Amino acid sequence: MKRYRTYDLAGYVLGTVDEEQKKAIDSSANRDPELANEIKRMQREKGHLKDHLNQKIQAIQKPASMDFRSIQPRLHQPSRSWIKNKNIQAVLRLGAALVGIILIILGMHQVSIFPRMIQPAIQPVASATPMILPFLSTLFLLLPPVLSAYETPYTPHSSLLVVLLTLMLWLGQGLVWLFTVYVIQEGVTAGVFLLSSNLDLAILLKTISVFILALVWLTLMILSGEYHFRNLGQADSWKSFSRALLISGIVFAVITLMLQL
Amino acid sequence: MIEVWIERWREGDQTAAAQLYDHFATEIFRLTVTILGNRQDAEEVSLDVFVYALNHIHDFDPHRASFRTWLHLIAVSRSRDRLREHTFDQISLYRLFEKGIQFKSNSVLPEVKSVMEEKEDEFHNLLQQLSPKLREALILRFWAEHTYKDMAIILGCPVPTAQSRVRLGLERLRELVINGQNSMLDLREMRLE
Repeated sequence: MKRYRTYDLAGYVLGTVDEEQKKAIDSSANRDPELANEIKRMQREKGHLKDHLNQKIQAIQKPASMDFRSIQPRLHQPSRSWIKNKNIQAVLRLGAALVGIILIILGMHQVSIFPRMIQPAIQPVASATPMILPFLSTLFLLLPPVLSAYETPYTPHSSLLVVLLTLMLWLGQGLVWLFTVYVIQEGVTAGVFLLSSNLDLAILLKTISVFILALVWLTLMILSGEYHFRNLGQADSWKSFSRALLISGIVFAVITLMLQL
Repeated sequence: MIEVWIERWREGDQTAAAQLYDHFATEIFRLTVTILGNRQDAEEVSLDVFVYALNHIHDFDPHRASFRTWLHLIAVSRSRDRLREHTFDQISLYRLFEKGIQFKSNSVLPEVKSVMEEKEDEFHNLLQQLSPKLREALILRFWAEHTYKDMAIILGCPVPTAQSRVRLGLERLRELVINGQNSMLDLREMRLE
């Protein structure tokens, strides 16, 4: 019995261990009476709690006022509307995510993000970073996860569409984060240059900040990828996308407002 | 039988809707009252569940889950909304301006607590001491006897999370019983070494 932790036995009793582990425990229990007794004891305990739970819940009776007539006026003739179709909704959400991705790529193209990262140039962020496209991108990217996470009740779509949507949102989120990295390093460079008027120092700090932020970006991409893979199609995954994109959207909105002022 | 009622209601037969309601109403009320710990809230939520389910009957897909699982999904979701509403109710505007925001550290709502205090049913009180997530998991597994796969659909979480919640819920329930907070259940003979 010492070879098994209570955790494994609890899993065995609750039916959560895999077939291989179940067979191993069965086989050991056949040889080890102490283990067999412990399993029986845990099963009795579970049964005892389960019986009490069932007994108490079964004793609950619904109020007499709760009859069909109380909901009848609120019912309407059920109709099959194409817009309510789950798969059509999922396709529309895929479309919104695609528009979001296109907008963020256009935003990157507009500020020539890639050449600027390779050949750093000092230019104040206010004149170099039009934020409207990235901001619109986060709005489009936010739509699918917000709608999926907060629809009541959440009902799953086709698994293929969920995989596609998650992949697109992950990619879109990565691009938005990449743009955020760009904004931060531009801000650091411009700030240092404005304060110190030292071009070499500004370029050095820009290089360092790009290196650090690239590591952070890579780590976030890997961690979020794993998280969304584990929670594929679940409300937690959609909520995580919503929060991450909302924060980026707020950053872009604030900068856009500052640029307007 | 249930499939026939669903099909007939989809075609607009109100008698079929009434049959579906009568078949599941008590079960849904039991589920919501156990999650919410309050009969009045449970009644309102249960009625909302049926209004939503019957009005959106075309969204129900029998290939993904049974009608019962779908109803439980709606019931759990609506119960969570109701609990969330009560949490927001606890943020008083007066307190916000006069004393700052005060959040309740205890997850048990005042009205639920008062109802709990009135009840003699110790086991029911004990259930209310569990967090809503653990309570939902125990009820769905042991009372509704859902598979872990169905539980994952209802709770909106991966299967291993549903399994962990059942395990944690059971452990927590056992701790509450064994720690003498409840005298109704005699688990002394089953206590771990």
